[in-house]
Order: sequence, then C-alpha cells, then structure tokens
Amino acid sequence: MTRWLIGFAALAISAALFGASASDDDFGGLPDGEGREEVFVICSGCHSIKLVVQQGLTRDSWQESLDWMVEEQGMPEMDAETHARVLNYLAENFGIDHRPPR
Amino acid sequence: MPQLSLFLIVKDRFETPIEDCFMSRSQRGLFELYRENPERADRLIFGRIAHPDRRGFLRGAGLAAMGAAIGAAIPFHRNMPAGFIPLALAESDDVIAGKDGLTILNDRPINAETPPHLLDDAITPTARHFIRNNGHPPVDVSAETWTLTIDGLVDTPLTLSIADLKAKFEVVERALTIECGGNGRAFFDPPAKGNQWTFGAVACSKWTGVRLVDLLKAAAVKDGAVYTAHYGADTHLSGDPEKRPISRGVPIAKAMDPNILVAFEKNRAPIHPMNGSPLRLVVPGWPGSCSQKWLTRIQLRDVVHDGAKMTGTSYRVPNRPVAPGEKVDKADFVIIHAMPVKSLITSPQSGLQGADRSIEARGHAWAGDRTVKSVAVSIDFGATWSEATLDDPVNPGAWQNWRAAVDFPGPGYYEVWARATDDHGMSQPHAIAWNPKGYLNNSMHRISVTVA
Repeated sequence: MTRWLIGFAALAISAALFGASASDDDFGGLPDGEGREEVFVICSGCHSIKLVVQQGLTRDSWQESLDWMVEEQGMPEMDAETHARVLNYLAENFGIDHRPPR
Repeated sequence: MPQLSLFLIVKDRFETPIEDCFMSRSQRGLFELYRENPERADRLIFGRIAHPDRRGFLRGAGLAAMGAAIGAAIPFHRNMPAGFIPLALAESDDVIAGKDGLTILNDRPINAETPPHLLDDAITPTARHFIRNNGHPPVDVSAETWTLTIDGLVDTPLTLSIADLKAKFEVVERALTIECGGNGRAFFDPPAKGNQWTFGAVACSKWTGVRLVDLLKAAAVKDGAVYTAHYGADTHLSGDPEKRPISRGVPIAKAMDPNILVAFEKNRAPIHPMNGSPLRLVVPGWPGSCSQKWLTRIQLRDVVHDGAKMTGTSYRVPNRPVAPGEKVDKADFVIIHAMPVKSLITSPQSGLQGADRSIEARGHAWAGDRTVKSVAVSIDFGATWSEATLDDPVNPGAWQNWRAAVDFPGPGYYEVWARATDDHGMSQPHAIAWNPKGYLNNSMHRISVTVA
C-alpha cells in the first residue's frame, strides 16, 4: 500500500513539475487510455512495463494473471474499481491480437 | 517517480546527449547524467536535494520519486549518500558490462536473448550468453564466502565453500547447452504469457565445476530420495523475503547424470553476474530453470519438489496434444523433462541481400538428453532436402555444429530451412505443438536470403 501511495504521489509530482504532456514513453510504452496510470504504478511496483507490453492475452487470461499476481506473487489486492480499470485497460490494449514490439 | 518517464522528460528539456545502444536509451542516459554531475542528476531525475551532510533527502525532496522508481519505500533513506544511483536501478548497467548485442526483453528483472547470427561461435562467448532472471540477483556474490549445502535425505549433510569444491572433488570442464523452456514462445498463436523469447534463449559455453553426482555420493543420498530441490540467493520481485523467485529440481535419476555440473567458471573466467556468479547448476538438455543460478543449497526430498515454479502450470505442458487456445485443466499438466530436438541457423544472418550463388550455411543442433543424428537443409520451402555435415558433440551435453554448402539456382528470394533429427528418429516439426504456457517450441528455424 505504501508503495502505491508513493507511486501515485510521484505521478502527481511528475504532472505538477512537467505539465500534462505525458507521452507513451512516460509510461514505459503503455498507450494512452483510461487506467494507464494505475497499470503503470501497480505493475511496475515489481517488474518492468516491458513485460506487460510483450503480452497479447484474452480478458480471461489477464484476469488469471492478476489473480496469480495477488495469490502467489505478493501483489496487494486492488479495490473493485481499480481492479476493473486495470483489467479493462489490459484487455483492451494488450488483447489477443496484440504482438510484442520487435 | 517512474525512472523512465521522468528521465525522458528530463532528457528532452536539458538536451542531454543520448547514445543509441541496445539498452534502453533512458537507462543509459541516467548513468551519463550521474557521471557528469551526480548531485545535479539527483535533482533532475528525482527532484532530490540532500541534507547539508550530503546524505538523505532534505524535507523529503525526491524521496517519493526515488521510492517509486525502485518500487519500494527506503527505510534508511536518511543515510543514503547524495549523487547515489540505487543498485535496483543500476542493475541494467551490469548487463551492458560483459554482454554484447543481446536483445533486452525485460529490464526488471533482466531478461535478454541473443540474435541467432550472434550465436555463430562453436562455444558461446560469455558476452553472447542469454540471461533469464526470475527475481533480483543477489548483491553479495563473493566467491570467498559462498557456501553450498547438500542436505535433506542424505546420511552426511555437507556445507562446502567453493575452495572445498575445488579441493575435494574432481574439477572438470564441459561444453554444455542450456536452453530456456520458453525459447520460441514469441511465435505461439494465440500468444502465451511471459517473456516473448524468439530464438536466442540458448547457448553452449564451457563450464568448469564439479559433478553433481560426486557431491551426492559424498553426501550419501538415502534410498527414499526421489527429487532434488535447488535453492539460489536471488530474491523475489515483490521484496517479500518469505518468497523465492524460483526453486526447481530434477528426479533423482537425472540428478545422477554425470554431465550435470556445479559450476564456478564459465569459459575459464568467473561466471557473469547475470548468469549466476559465483556458483550455479548446469543441467544440460533440460529447461534452463533446472540450472539454478546463485546456487546455495540442494535438498534431497522424498516427494516431487514443490518449490516456486515447480507447481501449477510453470515449466509444464499438457499430457496430450491440445488445440491452439484450448483450456487445459491444471491436473493435466506434466513437468517438462528433456528438451526436444532443435537447430539454429547462425550464418548467414537472416535477411541477407545480394548473396553469392554459393554460400555456406551453418549453425548448431541439440536434442535434450539425446544426440542429433542428422541435419538437413532446404532452400525450396521444404520440397527437397540435402544433408548437412554434422559434427559430434565435443562432449555429452554439448550442442553439435553443422554446415552445408548451399547452391542457389539463380537470382531471387530464398529461404534456408534447417531440420535436425535425433537418434530416436524424432525430427523438428514445421508447426508449433501449441501449449498454454508457450514451452518447447522446436519448430524449424528459417532464414531469408536474396541472391544477386
């Protein structure tokens, strides 16, 4: 939880310092969209966003991944609203047709 | 602050020169900024201002940003020197040191593979050996104080320093093939989770160490032992000390294979930090995950080991062929043992333009616990094949080098395909035997050549 608060605080600081002109690069290559900030902060708590942007998974498979992260990998559980935003973002931007950048 | 984001913004604002290299530009830039002026870099990247004693974070300036970049709060932040790059961010710099031309799939934890044409050497140089990390590598990797414990179902538990290993057991050097179980995952359709390895999560370097079987004999394994359990000093990505990033093992019969080494040198030099320095297992022909890096303990167990990434669907495949995308019950997954027959074309590089009509194609072939019996090459999309010259392995567990004279009939676009066959008559398939986790892709390697 502390980690996330710090993350969100940092994002706020970033926005305050540098204005709102965030690009994909600012989020490790995550494309713009609702839920991007949460995905960035939550996933990069443990691993690089490079792992996320390699994937092309069904919604069910993303759901399984998030469950696995919480149950076995020590990711703090998200509240329902955050969970929905994260899952929607991942399923929409890194769905079954997405291929890793080469 | 997320390190990449803030840094990229900083880069644009201050026009810091960024060199183009294979590691991420932003990461590279971070080190350059710190080299130029560490305290200015602190301020630019993290908004950090130290106390007058040049430690800590004045009124917390930059502390949250650095914490977010690392992914954890910093309990002893008051002691942290000014102009100091946290090791958690410095890891990527270590990859550059001693590695050359690798494609970075993930930079935290670091996972990197080698393009096929850079695997052309008969013995893989350390700089070209892929990196597969599951957790954070240990910080203290001093060979002088390192110990290995053999315990569990043994009559004589052992704790040995590296000096003990060298003094008490026969030291041998072997060329040994290590391939990640997920090599080739990138070509799965539908895609499978995890790092999207293409071709280059495989290598055959020379390893120096002692035979695992000799250690097991010295410890006197008891009758009831059925499996080994390997433990390393790397730490879990979440930072939870109770969790292990990976702890796998092998059946006791495999553990007695004299080709398995507990290695302390690679290519007659200390092992690269990202490849498991100062001590690791090398289990040739089985998924690389069996070859525990930063090895500290081998426990003998009376059950199939249930450590991290032994259970569930990790390093497992369905017990039957399945349709692409098919849902498979967890109970139907079985542990991967030996890797299947496979080959790689390491010369020429795919995409060669203006090639002569006669060229040499060459590469390597390997087959888990088996030997490769033949390699064939096609230049007409598999319609006809001709036999390549295939060397014996330099020792059991090493890949085999092959070469073939290729004569193209005239100008145009060609693909060179290679297909290895093992001593049980198993050949590489055209298509991927799809499985949910993206393992064991041994389909044929193809390269493109345009003849002038």
